[in-house]
Amino acid sequence: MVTRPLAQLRERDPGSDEPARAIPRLRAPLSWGMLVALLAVVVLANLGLGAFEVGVDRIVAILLGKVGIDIGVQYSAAEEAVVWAIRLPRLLLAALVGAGLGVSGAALQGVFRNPLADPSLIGVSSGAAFAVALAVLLGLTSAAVFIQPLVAFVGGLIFTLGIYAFSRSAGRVQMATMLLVGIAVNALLASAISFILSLSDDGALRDIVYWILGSLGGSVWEYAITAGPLILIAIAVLIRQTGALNLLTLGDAEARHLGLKVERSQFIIVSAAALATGAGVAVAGVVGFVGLVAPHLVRLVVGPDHRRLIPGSALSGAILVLGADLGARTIVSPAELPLGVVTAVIGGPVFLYLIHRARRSLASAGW
Amino acid sequence: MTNVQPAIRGDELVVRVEDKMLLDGVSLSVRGGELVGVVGPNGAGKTTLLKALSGDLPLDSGDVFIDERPLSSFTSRELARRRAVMPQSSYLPFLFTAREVVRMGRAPWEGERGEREHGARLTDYAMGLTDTRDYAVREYPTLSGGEQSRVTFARVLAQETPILLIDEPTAHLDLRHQHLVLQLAQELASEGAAVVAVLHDLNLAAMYSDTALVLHRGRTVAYGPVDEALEPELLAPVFGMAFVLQSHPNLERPMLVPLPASVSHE
Repeated sequence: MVTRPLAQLRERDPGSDEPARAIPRLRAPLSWGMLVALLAVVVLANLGLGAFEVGVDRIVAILLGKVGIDIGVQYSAAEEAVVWAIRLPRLLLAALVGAGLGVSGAALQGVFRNPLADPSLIGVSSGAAFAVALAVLLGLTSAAVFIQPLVAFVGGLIFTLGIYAFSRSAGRVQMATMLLVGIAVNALLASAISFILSLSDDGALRDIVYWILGSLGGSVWEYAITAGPLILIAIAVLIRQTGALNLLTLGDAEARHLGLKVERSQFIIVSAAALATGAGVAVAGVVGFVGLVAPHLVRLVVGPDHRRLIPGSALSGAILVLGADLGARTIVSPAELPLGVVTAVIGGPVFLYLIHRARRSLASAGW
Repeated sequence: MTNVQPAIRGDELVVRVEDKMLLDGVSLSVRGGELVGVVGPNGAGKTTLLKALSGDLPLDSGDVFIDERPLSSFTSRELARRRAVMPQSSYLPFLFTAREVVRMGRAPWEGERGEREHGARLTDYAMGLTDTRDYAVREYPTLSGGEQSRVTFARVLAQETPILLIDEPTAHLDLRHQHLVLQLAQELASEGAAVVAVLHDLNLAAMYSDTALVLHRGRTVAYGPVDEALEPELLAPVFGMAFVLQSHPNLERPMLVPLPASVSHE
């Protein structure tokens, strides 16, 4: 028989356990509704806008037509081709890449206990970029559509696992160490990439830089079908870790005292974040700032609890990349801007605004 | 107490970091119903002892037993249902509310039948006990050090464990709350909890503990009932200052009045 002193104390001296006031920021239905509505708007905008515009009614008719429902709105074969074969795979990919980056960012900020953490910190993006640069330099990538994404994906994961292994000592991974190792490896990889660029001829230089700046221009259904499931699996894994993430924000020792298998959770979280980011980077190149900014935007509306933050970051990440890709496609149409440039142009100021807004609470949180 | 079997026991604990002995063969054994106050000057090994007991530090030799089972034979969840640990300070990088933090103390019980309601009730109860209900919805990082410390204590209470390891629970607290927290620890002990508390203030230790453990440079200097262990002759070399032993005017407890160097040399 286990003694439960607190329960006995409560029996003897019930005191007051009437519920405390509700937490004001939990106007959940409103904030979720807002996020979903925003997502719907960018989805429709992405399908309809561009060099060739398609009205909302026709978009709906085309999509429903594909599942055999005729709503009586006429559309041309060209409209169908643009929406279905060109814009829809690109849209799905943008949403998946964004959701993956948002969720990874939120999870890594939690596991590192650092609101400035970002998927790039675990070396997955720079590792992927380095692998692609090296492959282009060695002339290994021209063969098929899948070679470059595969090189990027494998390169990213190898570097993340390397950083993780290097930060391990006595069976425990010091997350603070891993953060520093990540910064060091990122710096090394950045100079290695610069060195490769200096060795490359004009064609290779263009290929590498274009890839590093990020683009969804090459989106085909095949990419969405291969990268999509990986990203969705990673998100599902991270959704199962939301309770663990909450405890980890208290600190490793505290989480362990509360019954969490800390090392196991950390490994799962870092791996899933690397998987989601790696799969995204593989098909879209390096898309910066989304993983950093998306979780912060959602925290403003749903609070820091990862049970809401993780799904929320999937939505806000998807919204951000969809919005950015719309900009990349349309601002200098018919040419395209690099996606990574657009996300940085949006993400930078948004992040500055968030810092400005949160200065007081950041200061009191020790930042 | 009829509980003879120790709830938590440390046997000849040795912790060495490089060639510095942080803990040099310290033993203690705590029954349910007992509050042990661990005292000693800075660097005596008090926090190291607590970390060794909670399994945070690898031991160079010695063993920790909970209910006479070695620590390593417990799963983390089993352990979390047996003992709670209060750290010296708890930094939180995100704006969780105080109540959300206390509620995290219920993590080891998640999945039990009726835990949703029971957990919520116990969270509020623990906040009531620690006088933190007024800022239940305030964000933890915006609270003062003393408020944070009591919220953390509430989280530890909400964990509902029969063993409590608490590291300087009174560090940032005002006088009233120092006594409130230790009174609570004492009440829990009287309900059967085994409590190990690291305390800075000798008189708080004297007032609330059953047993005192005096540490100095990683070694046990005295270990026994407070009125035997807290002897001025014993404490003088440990703290590097002289004390006069008095008796609390209303309680049958020793009181240690420190003497400044100028007086003790006369």
